[in-house]
Amino acid sequence: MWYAINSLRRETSRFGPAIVAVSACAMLLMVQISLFLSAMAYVSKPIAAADADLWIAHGDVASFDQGRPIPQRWLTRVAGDPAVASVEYYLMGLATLKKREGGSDTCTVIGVPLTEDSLGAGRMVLPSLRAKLRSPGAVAGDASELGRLGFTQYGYAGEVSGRRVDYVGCTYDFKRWTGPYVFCAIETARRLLPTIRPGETTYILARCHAPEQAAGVAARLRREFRGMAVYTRDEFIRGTQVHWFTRTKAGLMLLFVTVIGSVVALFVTSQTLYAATAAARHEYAVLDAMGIPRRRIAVAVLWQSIWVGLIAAILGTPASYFVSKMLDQAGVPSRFEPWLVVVGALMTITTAPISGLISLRSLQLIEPAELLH
Amino acid sequence: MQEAKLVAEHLTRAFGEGESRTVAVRDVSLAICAGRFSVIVGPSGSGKSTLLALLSGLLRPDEGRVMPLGVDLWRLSDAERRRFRLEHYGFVFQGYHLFPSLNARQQLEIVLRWGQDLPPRQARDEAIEMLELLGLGKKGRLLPGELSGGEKQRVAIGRALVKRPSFFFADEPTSSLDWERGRQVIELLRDAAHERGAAVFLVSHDTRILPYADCIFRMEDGVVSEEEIR
Repeated sequence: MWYAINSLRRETSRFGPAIVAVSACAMLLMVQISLFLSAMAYVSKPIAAADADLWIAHGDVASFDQGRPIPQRWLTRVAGDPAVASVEYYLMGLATLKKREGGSDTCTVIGVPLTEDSLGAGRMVLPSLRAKLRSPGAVAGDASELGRLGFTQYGYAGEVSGRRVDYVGCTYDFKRWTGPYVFCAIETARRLLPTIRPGETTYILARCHAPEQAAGVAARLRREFRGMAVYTRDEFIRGTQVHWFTRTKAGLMLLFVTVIGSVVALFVTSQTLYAATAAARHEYAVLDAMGIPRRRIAVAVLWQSIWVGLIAAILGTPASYFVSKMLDQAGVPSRFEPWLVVVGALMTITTAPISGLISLRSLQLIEPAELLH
Repeated sequence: MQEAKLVAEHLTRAFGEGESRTVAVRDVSLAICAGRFSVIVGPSGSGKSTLLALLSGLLRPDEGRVMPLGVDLWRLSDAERRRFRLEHYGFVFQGYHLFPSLNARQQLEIVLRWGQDLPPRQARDEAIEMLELLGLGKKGRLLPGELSGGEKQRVAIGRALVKRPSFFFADEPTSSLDWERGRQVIELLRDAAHERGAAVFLVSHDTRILPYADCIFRMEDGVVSEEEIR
């Protein structure tokens, strides 16, 4: 280790660029993970924020965004299970928003009952906002999406599906990669989503007497009613995330970019350390000629990699924090949380020695006979 | 005459294949004795560095055998040959090849700690002792970049001598030094032979070294054309 510390401290021209490159890779890794996990969290946010233990959907629905109209009468099927404590409707669908100041955009309208114990409103629509949304045509947007929605002042905000809407307040932390959410009362949503006919809903939400009963209820309902998709909260979150990342273009792109980014980061780290090791191959060749075990040289190279990884993780963390903040301010869902620092740092610290191990192949370049002219 | 410590028999080594095949060393046999300073001289391309590589076990001969201390070097496994080099061989190369991040003392310590598993304190003491013997007692804390060419070469010699090798191979160790500093290096190597009993084998094209040599081998076109024992 003493050799590794000495070389890192004194050979700044050799290891400085390596540390900078690996720090950049650490930053890339952390930002990629942050983006990926934020996207995972955001696509399933309405499910996670609701107080429902069960989500009942059309049999073809595997993800929240795919919601299709189902008969409202299914509610009795669910409410009839003795373990179910409460049930309600939940409307969701795409609509065109014609902004007050001109231009239009696609939005996702979510309509929920605004009662005090509303399952759909849950932590999404705070009690103070529920009262305001009870007015016909009253809508809310997420605080981070107000500019995109054209909700610049309270009151008339434009038209959704040709119906006037009034902006009355906002939710927090409900960003979206695609069309932003517009929240409203379920009665308002019926007018804004004409494709959902009377007697239909998009989802039926249910709460059990105890959350642990949800799996049993779901199994019973699936057995009894074919063509009706029944998900527990966690199943629907997982299904929505998997569907988004594997079936949507945006998800696939992000998944691809994350994988490519991580591979590039690993490759750059590996090549950088390889170059740094190869640069000292003549010195190692002298030791090799004198019979010093290669194992000792390899351990020294690994220690160098570990130190480079440690320093890079320390330098890369604040850099990734600032990049995440910038992305967040630009409206890109990117959350930088303490555990992410730990994961990113661990990945970098782990990646560096792995790269160091790969870079050990540069020791094969050692050919003491080459030292003889 | 003393007993030979290293015997080479009918060494031949060629590079390339077909029409581009060049025979660098052709049917060379020689013996190197303990406590003697042997020098091999010859013009560029005469095959002297290849011969050094063959004798030191860094290059496998196409034909012939190398037997230091009665051991046929190329009958050993890679690990055994490495072990043999660790126990018996020291090297000095033309370009110093010192670690830029280690000071003079650490250049020697690394050999003792990594090669002989000496504890740090013992390695440090032995390194300091060697540097003092080489007249570098006050330079132990200096990095290679802070040392002159002659000092660097003396550190390189110290690095090779500190593990007390039976054989000491040096390739053009004075080529980048002025004669005064080169002479000091040659005297050090000769002392290593005479006072430590090592078999020192040096390759050079500088004929000013010859008066210091105990054995002289002259090489031309891959063949030892003349051998002079003093």
